[in-house]
Amino acid sequence: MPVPDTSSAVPAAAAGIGLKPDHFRSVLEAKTDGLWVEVHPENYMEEGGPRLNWLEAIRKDKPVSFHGVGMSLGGFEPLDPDHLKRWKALVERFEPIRVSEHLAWSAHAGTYFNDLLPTPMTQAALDHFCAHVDAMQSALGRQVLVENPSRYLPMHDDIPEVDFLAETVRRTGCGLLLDVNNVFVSAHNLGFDARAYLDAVPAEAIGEIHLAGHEEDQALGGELLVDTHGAPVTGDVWALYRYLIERVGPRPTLIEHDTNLPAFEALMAERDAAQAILDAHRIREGAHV
Amino acid sequence: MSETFYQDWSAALRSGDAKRLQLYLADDSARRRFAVYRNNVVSAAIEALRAGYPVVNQLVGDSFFSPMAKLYWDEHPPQTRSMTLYGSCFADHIAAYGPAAELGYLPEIARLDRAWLETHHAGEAEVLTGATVSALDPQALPSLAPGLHPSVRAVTLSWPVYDIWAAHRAARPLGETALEPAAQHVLLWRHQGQIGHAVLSPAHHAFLGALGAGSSLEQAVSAASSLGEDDDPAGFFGHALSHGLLAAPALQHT
Repeated sequence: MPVPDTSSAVPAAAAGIGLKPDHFRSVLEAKTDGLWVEVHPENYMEEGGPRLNWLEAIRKDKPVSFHGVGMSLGGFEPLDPDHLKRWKALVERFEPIRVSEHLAWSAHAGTYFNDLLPTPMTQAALDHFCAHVDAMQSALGRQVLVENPSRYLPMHDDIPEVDFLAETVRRTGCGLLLDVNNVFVSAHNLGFDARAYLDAVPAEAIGEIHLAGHEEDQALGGELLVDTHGAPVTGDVWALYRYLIERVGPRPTLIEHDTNLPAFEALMAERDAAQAILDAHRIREGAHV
Repeated sequence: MSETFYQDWSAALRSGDAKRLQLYLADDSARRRFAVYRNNVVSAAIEALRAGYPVVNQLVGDSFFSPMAKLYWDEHPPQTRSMTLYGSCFADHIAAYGPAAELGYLPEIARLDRAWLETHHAGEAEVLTGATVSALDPQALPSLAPGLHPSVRAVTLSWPVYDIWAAHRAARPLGETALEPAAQHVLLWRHQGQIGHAVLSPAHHAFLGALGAGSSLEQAVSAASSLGEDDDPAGFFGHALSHGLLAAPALQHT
């Protein structure tokens, strides 16, 4: 079911940061123009308590975006009705500017694995995935942005991932959350060309961009890059990001940091670097007119 | 789409054995790389438990905690999509965990860590205040049945570990302590965003326990007095009001 696109209503593309409890007060007090924050709704699915109160206070003057990790859109089973209900309650309470999930699965047969596991890139999986994206969009009454995963294993793919995502956009009216670090990591691990991937993404569908750090696998070294969200964004990923913005124009961009959380100022410095790239593009484009 | 793919992956993630995944993987590198997923899944569970049981982790150290948590994940993998309250049976797991057998007090520390976590994330409710009570007809007071605020946890421990736990929780130095098994009641609650905790006398524990079970103030006072201690239930009722322990009841008496 196509859902009206609400993400394009956001005026100028601004850079935001993933919100962690350690930074609640800093974010609340930050005066940075355009700063927005993103949370995993799973971390706010509690009955009450200070975390929800912080988010309530922060959303009063900073846009909040929801980025789910537990919906298992790429799984076999129908979406968990209880999880959808909690999601919907949070969407109604906090009115996020964007909602997103992953091309991945994370639960099966009653066990939640709490990781973004690879969905097979097959025709049958595509049909299933589209039905799940539809179901989530219908339940929330919102367009959902779907994020490209970090991939580690070469599998028997019938459909290239970027085509899988483009077809999902076409069938469901969903948008894309393009994680540039994930493209870089997957391209390295599976041996494809990251720029060719970016060239193939339907530009108009990109509602948000993610930037994060990756690290070499502890056991396998440079053979395998792991999307740890535990390090600063690398130079290669910044270069890929500039290339993307050059092609598609400015889009809301998030700096994600989930482990080895840096000081707020260091995180904001990365955020400001992304903002500078967005602003530079806007000024250059403006000068052409 | 075949469910077998997901069944095989689930089994491999649970066991760490990727043999059955061969079918889906394009080359030999893939099997070795599968460990990334398995490690992510296991360490996410271990880290969620470490975050939920910080004093247990401080007391035994990371290297003791991790295999104990890993075994918990083997036996009780997460079932809901939020990890915030994962680990509800961890104290009992510690009590049955062989390498912790010498540390009889450790499950009791875990019970306090767990109560803190539940108190922190519990629901909100309107608090019964002294002002509301003062406005009531005094005749109606004995039959008033205020429930407990949803954040209140009254824990009965079989080792008196409160001082040790509270000192670690606050990163406060703690002098030498000798421990012997003995019952201890501890109260945890959340009031105006802050978590409080304190040792409860048996009479006060009985008083709150009765209110938590839906009893009236009169019945709760009698439950407390039946323990034969002179613990001034009226004074404790005042404390309970000022600390936000009591929920405003549906005031059918007004």
